Amino acid sequence: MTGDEMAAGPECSRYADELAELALGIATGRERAEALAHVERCSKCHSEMEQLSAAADSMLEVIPGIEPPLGFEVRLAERLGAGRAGRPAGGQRWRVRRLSLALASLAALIALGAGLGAGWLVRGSGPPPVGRSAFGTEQGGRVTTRSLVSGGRAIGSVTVYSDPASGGSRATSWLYMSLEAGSWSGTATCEVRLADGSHVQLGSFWLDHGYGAWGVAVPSGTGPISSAYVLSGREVLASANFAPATAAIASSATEYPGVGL
Amino acid sequence: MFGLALGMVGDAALAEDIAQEALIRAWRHAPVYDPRRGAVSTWVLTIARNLTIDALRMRRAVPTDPDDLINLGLVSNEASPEGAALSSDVARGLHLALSGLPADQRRALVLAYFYGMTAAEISDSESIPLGTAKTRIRAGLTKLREAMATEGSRR
Repeated sequence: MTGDEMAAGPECSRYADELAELALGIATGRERAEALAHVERCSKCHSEMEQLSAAADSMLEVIPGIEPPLGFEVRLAERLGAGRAGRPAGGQRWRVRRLSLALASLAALIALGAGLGAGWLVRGSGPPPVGRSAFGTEQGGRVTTRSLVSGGRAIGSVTVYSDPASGGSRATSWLYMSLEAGSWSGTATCEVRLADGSHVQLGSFWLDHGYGAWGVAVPSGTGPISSAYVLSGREVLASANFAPATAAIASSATEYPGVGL
Repeated sequence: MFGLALGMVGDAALAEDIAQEALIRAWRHAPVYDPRRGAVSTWVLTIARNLTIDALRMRRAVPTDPDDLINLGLVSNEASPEGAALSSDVARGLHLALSGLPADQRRALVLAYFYGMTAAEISDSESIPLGTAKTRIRAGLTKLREAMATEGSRR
């Protein structure tokens, strides 16, 4: 007799109350353990519990959204490590604005979750450094950040996440870029050059007086990126170099708090 | 998220703390988000809900009245044109489903889901037998699921 056949019997009715309590997250102790063990082997009750869980979670939608108090983002920035003491008044505006962009992108970034393998980044305060950082993650993926440079000046950064792939190579799974200097407004295109020399356009985003932040899930199977470009038409606004020779050097000039599980 | 925490704890400072912590955790735990299990917004709200339950337990804070929490949603969403527009689809269906439940079952669901109270705790706080608390929880959630299924098939 299979587990499902067993589950069709009286055993299922024994756990009817517990399924609801599991779905609501309030089951405890031995009852919880027994109910979970039953759900593991009974597809009917497993499906029932998933439906009840969805019904329970739907209650979250009932509570109306309320704007948080003024300064919420600044205080969040401080908790994330982006707003350190001693910041000059003139520098605060772009940091807050940048954080706003980053927060606005959060849902979209998490929405890329199927391909995500690392947490998100908020860089430390100060002007954008001409630096680079690369570090491993617990899943074996790697987050690498490079400065976006325009006319010899860093005006932003681009971060890519790469997974280990077969044959010792790596496959790029997502890319995120933010720009916070410059004056250009309009639609910008992100294009990358891959290690094999081919070019791939990843998408477009909006720049507002030099400010913009954008993330994208890279099509599966995309190999390592050697360069990333921000374009207006065919004009290169900024570029970042991911050349393998420098790929594993961690910069001491840049802080990346809040990464990892 | 802030609204959820505020509705649950009734304290703006604590609600902000919870909302920020939920965002930070979502940020850091993006790798474990499973899109098959629902929308990002629901996932982040679930994090906020769990944090709020923990905070209420740790601080032994007195939660807002569970009836107020539900009324908050019903009143606020009908009070403004934006709210009315929002409540025209999913939220409105949910409000109808919840408000259609017997009051004792709705209250048991809110105490269980938003305040993390076990059946035994609900039995104590409502002064009802444990079996009755369990029955209210199960009947309420089952009816909510059925109401949502009916609402979903109409759209």
